[in-house]
Amino acid sequence: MLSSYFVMVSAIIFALGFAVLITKKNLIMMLMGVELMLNAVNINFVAFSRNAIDPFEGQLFSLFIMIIAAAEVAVALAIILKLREHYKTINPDMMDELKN
Amino acid sequence: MDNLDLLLLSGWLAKIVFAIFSLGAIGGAAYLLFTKNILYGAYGFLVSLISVAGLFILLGAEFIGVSQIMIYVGGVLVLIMFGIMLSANGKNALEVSNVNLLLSLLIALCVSSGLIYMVSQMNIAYDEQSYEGVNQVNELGMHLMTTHVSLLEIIGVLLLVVLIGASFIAKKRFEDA
Repeated sequence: MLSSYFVMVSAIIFALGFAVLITKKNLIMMLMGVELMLNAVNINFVAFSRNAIDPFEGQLFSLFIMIIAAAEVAVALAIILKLREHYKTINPDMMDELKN
Repeated sequence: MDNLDLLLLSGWLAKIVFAIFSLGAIGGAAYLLFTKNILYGAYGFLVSLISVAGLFILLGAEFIGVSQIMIYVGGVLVLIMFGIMLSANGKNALEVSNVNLLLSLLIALCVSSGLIYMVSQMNIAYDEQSYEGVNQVNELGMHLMTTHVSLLEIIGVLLLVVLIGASFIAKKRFEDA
């Protein structure tokens, strides 16, 4: 398989993740969009590292990205639960204390 | 390397498997975009993650594919499900409204078509490295323990900090109440 097909798929997934991020009015859904974008980046890393001199550099990079993403989700969900406790909603449009 | 592997690496079988996995990845993501139920969206996300793991394995990165399933499906998705469960309240708790759907679809179309055009203009080498006779886990472990050992240590400290920080943020503060 040619690497560019994988890169094309990852481009589509990245765009869909971005659309999810700006469409959904729910913090957990937005988090899922961010995870989709990180997944697309991982596919890119692995696909391009296939032609590199040392193919394991890119794979290690995507491994580290995965670990960082897991850590990010843990902290983000803790913050979301706290926000829900405070505002009684997780719609980011409702959290507008600084707006007025 | 047996016959199936050879077929998988060179022939039409690879294309079919690639089509299935990429359809799953894109379809799951699109379902996440269009659905109005957050739990169904999480299931679409699950399909997308598993298909991306299949794409990793198709790319010759078996260890990354297995870690994708273990970390994302086993860890991140379960965390997200718990988040949905703990943050849902009242009637229509799982309903999510879509705003700016047309605009975001337009942006997504522009971004993806631009990126695909750019990739199709690129000259990516045809002769990818052959992984025959390479022990993936062994090589990755050697890299982790020699050239990337400082990164590994920093990641370990980061995970500890995240563990403490997340539980500290999420705990109940009794003096507030």
